[in-house]
Amino acid sequence: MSEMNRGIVAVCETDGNEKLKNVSFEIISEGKRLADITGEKVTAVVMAEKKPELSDIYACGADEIVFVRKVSSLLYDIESESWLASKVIEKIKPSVVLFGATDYGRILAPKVAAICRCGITADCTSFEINENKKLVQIRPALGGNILAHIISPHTMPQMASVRPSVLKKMKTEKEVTGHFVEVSFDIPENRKKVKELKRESFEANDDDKIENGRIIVAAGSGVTSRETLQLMNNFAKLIGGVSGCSRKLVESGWMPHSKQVGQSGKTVSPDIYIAIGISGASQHLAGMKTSGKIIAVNNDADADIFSVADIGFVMDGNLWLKEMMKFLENRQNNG
Amino acid sequence: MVEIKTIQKRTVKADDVYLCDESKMPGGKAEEVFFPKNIEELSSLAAHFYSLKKPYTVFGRGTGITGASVPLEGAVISLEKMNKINDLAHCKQTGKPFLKAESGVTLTEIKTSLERFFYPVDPTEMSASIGGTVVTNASGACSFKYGATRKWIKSLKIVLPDGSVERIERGKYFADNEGIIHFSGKKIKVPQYKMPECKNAAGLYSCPGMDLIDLFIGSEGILGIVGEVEIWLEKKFPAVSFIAFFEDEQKAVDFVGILRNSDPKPEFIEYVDRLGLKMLKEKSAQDPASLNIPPLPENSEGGIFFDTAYNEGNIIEVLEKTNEIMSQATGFTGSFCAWENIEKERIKFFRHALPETVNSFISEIKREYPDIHKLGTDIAVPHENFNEMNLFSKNTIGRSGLKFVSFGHIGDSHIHFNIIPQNYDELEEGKKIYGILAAKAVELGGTVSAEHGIGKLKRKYLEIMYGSKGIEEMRKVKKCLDPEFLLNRGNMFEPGERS
Amino acid sequence: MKVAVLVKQVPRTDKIKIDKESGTLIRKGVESILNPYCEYGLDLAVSLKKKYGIIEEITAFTMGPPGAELVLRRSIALGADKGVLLSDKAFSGADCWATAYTLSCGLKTMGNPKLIICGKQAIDGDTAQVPGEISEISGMPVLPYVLDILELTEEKIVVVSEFENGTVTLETSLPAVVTVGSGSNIRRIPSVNDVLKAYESEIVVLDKTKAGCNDTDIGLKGSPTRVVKIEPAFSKGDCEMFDDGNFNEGFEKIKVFLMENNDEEN
Repeated sequence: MSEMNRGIVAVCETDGNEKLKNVSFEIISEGKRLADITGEKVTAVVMAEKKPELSDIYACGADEIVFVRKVSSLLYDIESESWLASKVIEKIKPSVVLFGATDYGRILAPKVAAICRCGITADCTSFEINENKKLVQIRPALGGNILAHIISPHTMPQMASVRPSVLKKMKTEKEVTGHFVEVSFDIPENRKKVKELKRESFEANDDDKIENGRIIVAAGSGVTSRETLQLMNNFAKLIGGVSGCSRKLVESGWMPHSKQVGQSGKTVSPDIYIAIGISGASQHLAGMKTSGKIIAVNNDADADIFSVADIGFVMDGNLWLKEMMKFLENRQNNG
Repeated sequence: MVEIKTIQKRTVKADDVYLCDESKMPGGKAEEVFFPKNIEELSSLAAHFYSLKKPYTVFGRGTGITGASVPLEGAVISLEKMNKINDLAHCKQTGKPFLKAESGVTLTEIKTSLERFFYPVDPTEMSASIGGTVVTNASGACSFKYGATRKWIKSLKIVLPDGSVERIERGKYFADNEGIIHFSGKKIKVPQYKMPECKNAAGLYSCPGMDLIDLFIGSEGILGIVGEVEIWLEKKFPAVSFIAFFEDEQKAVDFVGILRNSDPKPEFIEYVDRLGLKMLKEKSAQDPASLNIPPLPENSEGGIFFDTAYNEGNIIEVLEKTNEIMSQATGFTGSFCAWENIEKERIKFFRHALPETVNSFISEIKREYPDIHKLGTDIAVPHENFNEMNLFSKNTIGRSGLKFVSFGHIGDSHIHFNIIPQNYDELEEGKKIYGILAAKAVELGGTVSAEHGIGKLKRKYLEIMYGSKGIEEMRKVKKCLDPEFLLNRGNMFEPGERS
Repeated sequence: MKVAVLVKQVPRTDKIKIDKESGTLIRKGVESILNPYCEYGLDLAVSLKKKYGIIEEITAFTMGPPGAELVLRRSIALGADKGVLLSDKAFSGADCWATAYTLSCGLKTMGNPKLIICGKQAIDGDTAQVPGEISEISGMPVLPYVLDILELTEEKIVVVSEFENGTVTLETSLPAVVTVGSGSNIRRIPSVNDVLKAYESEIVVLDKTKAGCNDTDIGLKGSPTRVVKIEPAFSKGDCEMFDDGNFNEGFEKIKVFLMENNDEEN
């Protein structure tokens, strides 16, 4: 069947308010980049109750939008959406299917792959097209220490999920439009076994979310007192940034999990990342190394964090923060 | 001989690292510190100071806790540049593996240089220099099975105070019937006192017909400078880590009596008392991640840590036997068991957490009373007297109302009582009690210092142990090799006493 | 009811060293451990067994080389009743799909467990794909990222699942697959008695025939994906270093773009 498969599908994810998540725009954009190499078209698949804002989707490079209208009370409708996605894929017969590797996408994608009996590569951070026109799916493994290049040589479509905030969202300025199709399916009974009884969202204040921060100041195990942590939070506020942390501080209960950067936390890509007392375990680096500028402060000159940093300070975090605060406070006082 | 001016040196600054060791003893003073790179430079320095009659102190890695490497005057010789390790070798006669290292090499460096073998002396502080561990006859938990450093020394290359270099291999020089050792053109009269029959690091070693090498091991550096060491090694093997908990301290102590004679013999047996467990439980409740240990079995007021080695194939046997003696022990409340390294590390971390916790309490108190320090006993007694010593210590400190915990090497009948004074009055009270405990230990045939040594901080307890006659005998040995008392002045003897 | 817990043996990633040139794992001296997420899954199974009388037996399953029996022993020490090891040379080279298929075959041999508990991912590959694929291959719904189980009967299960934006309470009929993404930071330590039991237990070993696998669906042959290249993830960058001595110089450097960034916003 492989020769017949054409086109790139981006399976989009909506938030509770029927708005597309950022990662969906990122995978559409990446789909467009790949489609430009292979000469294929990009289809965005949106499964939701309400029709989404189409212009934003076209602006990222989608040639076509397939809207699967559904009725469901579930926020995470894994069983029926995995079946629906497979139905759409069966129809379109694409060569590539991309998912966002959100919590939802990471469970949805393998189910779709299993139904389609094709390969799936999770948590990709970049893609290439090789000389045989195959999609090379590149992902970190072994705690982020290595990058594995993976292909699906014999099966179609080639499926992958993509780490949020790693690939860039593209946007064309001029008004663009494309093809729109609305479809619906009768969902079989055995796909309706899961019921949602209750929903509790813990949306943080948007300004305080690390994934939205343009400047992130993050603390690691080298931050050994609450005083230093407080100092860091104040510093972050003063420079218009948000604070984050490595796994150690979540484990010690000093910071919430929502603030954790790294493989088991959030992947972030701010303009400036300031790492205070972070040694730079590969798991942490995997979550922040694509940041614009990385400033690292650590006592230990051999700390791995310096291997990804642009500017490094071999000194105590507390001392460094005090120096910075001195400067910032002076500046404020002087106007 | 090497020209002195070619040897690396620098002026000692105020607050220099070479003026202090882990005891944080105040009052260190010195002019210059020298960094010899090899034995030749070291012996040249010794000869130079000998001709100038200039006192000097030898500094290994500064991990001691008795002030032995804290200089009081003159110069410092730091051994940190003498850090070469030779390849593993095997004894020509017996085939036993050994390693040759310069004295500034650390235990960690030795450990990482070995793959299939290990050096069984583990005094916990792995950044200690091998030379330092030789002159204190270091031990730690594993001396229960393997004995202290003494047993593991194949040979020493010593720089004598006059600058001459001698290699002393075990089995070469012995004391004659008069207790005289003929060596390097000198007649050394070894002390005639009897050593305690337990682990000991206090005073010069002595026994009838003794080997010269034993005089240098545990000598706290007063007889010569260790330049190079050959140590015996053992083959590595896997082991299971256990913690057995008991409903009271005495039942834990009683269990040790059974465990000590069990087969296979544990690698070590360590103890933590009721107050120690309480301190750890409180710390864990406050910050669970700090100790990374699940809740202990209920009603546990005493704990015994031990590791037991196994061969490929007999792990079940080891587990069965251990399970049997534990379940038969009275007052047993439950156990932890680990066989994978990652889990064994957790248990080891937990075991070492108590001394760390005590230190953090002390630092807290220091903020208000800067001169407060903990009072840690280093007493060991013969096994048959352990119970009496333990109860006496508990009751004596307990009556005073001072805060304390006890833990440590119960396999060797050697546990550390740590008194944590809350103010200066309590510090004085604690010091008095310390003296009372030391006297009791000697009365019970034990030692005032089983592993830390005497250095400059515990000199007065040495006399409690050996009497003025014993001190006099030691001083004679010192005088025979170092007539001007230039080397490591102030260790064991008061700095003013020379004759 | 019978409960299956899927476990995986993984290298300790905190001790991992990578050959910076070739990007391959330096295996020498790297210890293997039970994947922490699988341990959370096991913890959940054990607490369920305590809480609900209806669980008769917890079986730990793994696929791997003969040495992987150690994670089964650890699982038994932590409360599993028995261990099943799917081990065959023909299984090697399996990707997520072939792994999920092989494990599904193994699960069938134990007479359809009502509840299959998995860790949400393994810390070596971090793929997190196997549980979802097993749920499809075995035809069961999946409840991912379970924090807590509120109700368990012979017919149904009610769980609280945690996603990045919040929690949802989900109910489904059994059989079902559950994945576990978090648990107690402080892992349990077994007693001597538990460890002895683990070492005395017989591990059931299933090869491809005993597990009833199709030859074409296992190992490298059954795997739709191929790893074609491995490279180290990080290369030493050009980090400009400063310390106490030349702090001011470094400070001038960062001051510039910290201010730039700040000013744009205002």
